[in-house]
Amino acid sequence: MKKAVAFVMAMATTLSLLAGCGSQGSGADNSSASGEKVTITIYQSKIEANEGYKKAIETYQKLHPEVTINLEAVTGNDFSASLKAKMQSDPPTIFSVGGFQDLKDYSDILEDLSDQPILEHALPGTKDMFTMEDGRVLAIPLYMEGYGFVVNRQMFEDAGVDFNSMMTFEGMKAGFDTLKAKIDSGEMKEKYPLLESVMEYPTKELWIAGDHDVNVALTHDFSSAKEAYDADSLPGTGFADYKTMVDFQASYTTNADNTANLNSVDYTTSLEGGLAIERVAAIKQGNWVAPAVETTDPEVLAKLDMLPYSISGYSDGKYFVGVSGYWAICNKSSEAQKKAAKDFINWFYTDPEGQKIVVENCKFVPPYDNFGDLKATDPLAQRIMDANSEGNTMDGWVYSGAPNTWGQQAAGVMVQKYLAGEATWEEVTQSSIEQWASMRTSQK
Amino acid sequence: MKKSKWRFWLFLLPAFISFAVVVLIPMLIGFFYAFTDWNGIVGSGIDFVGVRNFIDIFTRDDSFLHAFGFTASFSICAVILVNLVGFLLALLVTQQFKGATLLRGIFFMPNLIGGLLLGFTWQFIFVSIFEALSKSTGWSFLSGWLSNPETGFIGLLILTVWQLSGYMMIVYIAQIQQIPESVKEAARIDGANGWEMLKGIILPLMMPAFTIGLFLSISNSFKMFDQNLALTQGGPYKSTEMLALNIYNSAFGANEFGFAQAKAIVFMILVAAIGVTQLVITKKKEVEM
Repeated sequence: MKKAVAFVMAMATTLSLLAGCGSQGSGADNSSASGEKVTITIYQSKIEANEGYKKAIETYQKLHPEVTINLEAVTGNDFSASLKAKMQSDPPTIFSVGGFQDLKDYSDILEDLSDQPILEHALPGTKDMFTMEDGRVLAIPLYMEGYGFVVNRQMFEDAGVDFNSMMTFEGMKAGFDTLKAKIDSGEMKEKYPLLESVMEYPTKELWIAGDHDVNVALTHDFSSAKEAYDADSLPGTGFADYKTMVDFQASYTTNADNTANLNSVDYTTSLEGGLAIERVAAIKQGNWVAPAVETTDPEVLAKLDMLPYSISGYSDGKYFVGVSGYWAICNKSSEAQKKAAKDFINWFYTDPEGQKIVVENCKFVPPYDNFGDLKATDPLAQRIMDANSEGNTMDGWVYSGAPNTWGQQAAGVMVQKYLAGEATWEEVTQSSIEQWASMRTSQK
Repeated sequence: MKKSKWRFWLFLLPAFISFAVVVLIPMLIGFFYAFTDWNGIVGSGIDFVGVRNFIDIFTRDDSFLHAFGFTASFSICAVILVNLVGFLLALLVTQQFKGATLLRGIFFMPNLIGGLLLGFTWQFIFVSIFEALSKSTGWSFLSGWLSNPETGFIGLLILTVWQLSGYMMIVYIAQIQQIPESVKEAARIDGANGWEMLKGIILPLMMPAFTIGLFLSISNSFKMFDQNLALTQGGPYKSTEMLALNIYNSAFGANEFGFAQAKAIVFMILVAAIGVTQLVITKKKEVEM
C-alpha cells in the first residue's frame, strides 16, 4: 500500500514538472475584437516619473475599462540588463529604449510607429535617433532633458551674486568664488547652517563623470549622436574642455584637496544629501532632479534654478539638451495589445488631461509642439523649455552614439583614476581614444 | 532484483528532472554559447566563433585577470578571518555563562540578511558614518572609505567576515559539542591546561568541521556577487571588481554574452579545482576517534 502511494506521488511530481515546462508561451490572454479585455505591460526606466505614469494609467483606465495596464520600473543604471532578462521571460508590450545600441539590438522586434498621429507634432530632430533609413519610426520620444549647473539661486543672491551674471563660464567662476569665500569665512553659517561647500561632484557614478561630462568633448568631434555612432575612431579634440569641467567641479567640493575621495560620493549624497538639504549650493545635473528635491524639501525646489554648462569660448550660455527617453512597442505582442498600447501613448500626449499629467506629474519637457501654453511646474524644466525656444542649446546626448559602455567604462573609469592621482590627463585622453577604437571593433 | 532496479530509476526521476531542468540543461546551453558571439538578446544572430572567446579572456581584455587577482587575494584573507573569527565565537558561546544562547543568536543574525541589503548598509557606515566620525575625532584614516582600492578591499573583508562568521560559528559549535566529555576529562586529569587542551584535543577533533568550514568559506568568497555589487560596484575604476561581477558586467553591461559565458566556464573550473583540492587536503588531516 505504502509503495503504491509513493509510486503515485512520484509520478504526479514528474508530470507536474513536465506540465510546468510545456505551458510556457501559451499565455496570450487576449484576442483582437474591440471591447474585449486586454492587458498590456509597460516596462520603463524613468523611475522618477513612475508616480506620474501611474496617474496617467488610472485616468486612462477609467476611460477605457477594458484595458488593464501593468507598470513596471527599473532604475536607469540597471535597466538594460534587466530588460534583456525580461525579454527572455515575459516580453513587455511597451518598453523604454535609449540610444543606438538599443536600436541595433532590438530593431527586429520594434513595431513601426511612423503612422502614429502624435508624431506629427514632434519637434524637429526629436525623432531622428529612431528613424530608420527606409523612413520607419520605431520609437516615440517621451521627454527632453537638459543639464547644466543646478544651483540654489537664493543662496547665491544672499551671497550678493547676481544670478544673470553667471551665464558665462567666467561669470559662473566669479560667482562660485564669491560664495566659496563667504562659506570659508563663515558668513553663510547663520542662514544656511548645513552649508559646507559650493559644489558636490559624485564621481562614484560613472554616468556623471563619464557620459554627461565627456559629452562636451564629443561635441567637438561630432555634430550628432548618429555621427558619433558611425565613427570608427575618436579624434578626441575636445578633451581639454572635458578636463576644464572635471577640474572646475572638483575644486569647489569639500574634497578639493583630496579629490580621490570624490570616487566614493554617490548621486544620492549629492542630491538628497546635498543640494536638497542645502549642504551644497550647486551640482551639475539636469531638470530630472526636481522630483527628488521636491520629495526632500519643496521649499528648496522653489529656490533652485539652472545655469548653462558653459565653457569659455565654446559653450558659453548653452544648456545641453536632448531627447533622452523613448517608448517602443514590441511587435511580438498581440494585435489587440499593440492597438491598446498605441492608443494609450497617443492619448497621453494629445488629450489635454494626459498632457497635463505629462507636464505636471511626470515633470517632463515634452518634445512636441501641441502642448500650447502648459507651463512647467518647476523652475528647472522651465529653464529647459525657455532654452529650447530661444535656441540656447547644444546636443547633450552625443555620447549615446559612443560604443556601448564606452562613456562609463572607458572615459568615466579613467576620470576616476585621474581624480585618484593614478592617471594623468594625457593618459585619460589616450586611453579613451584607444578604447573607442577597440570597443568599436569588438562590438561590430 | 531486476524489478527493484527499475523502481530505483523511477523514484529518482522527479529529482533528476528538476536537476536537469534547472542545472544540467542550462549548463549545457551555456557551454554552447561560450563558443558563439551571441550578444544576449533573443532573436539576434548567433555566429559560431570557435575558441576565440577563450583566447580573448587572456589577450583582449585584462579585466578578468585583474578580477581574478583581486578575488584570490580577497578570498585568502576572507577564508582565514572568517574561520578564525567563527571558531573563536564558537569557543566563546560554548562556555557556560549566562546569555551564551542569546549571543549565538546575535552572532548568527547577520547571516540572515540578504547580501544586497548588507552591502548598502555597510556602504552607509563606511562612507557616511566613518566620514562623520573622522570629522569629529580628527582621525584621518576614517575618511574617504571606499574611494580607493585599499579601503574597498578592507571594506569588503569586514562585510564578509561580519556576515559569514556567524554561520561558521554554528558549524563549529556542532562539532565542539560532539567532542565527548570523557576525552576532555581524561586530558584534564592528566593535567592539561587550557591551551594544551585546545591544541591536543579540540583542534584535532574539529578537523571534519574545518573541512566543511573551509569549503563553504572558499566557495562563498570566490563566488561573491551581491555584496560586491552593493558595496563598491567594482569601483573605483574597476579596482574592486570580483570575478562574478566581472562576468555579469560583460554579459549584461557590454552585451558580450558569449564572451561572458566563456569567462563563466573558466570561473567554474577554477572554483571547482580550488574547492576539490582543499577537500582532498583537509580530508587527509581528519582523525578518527
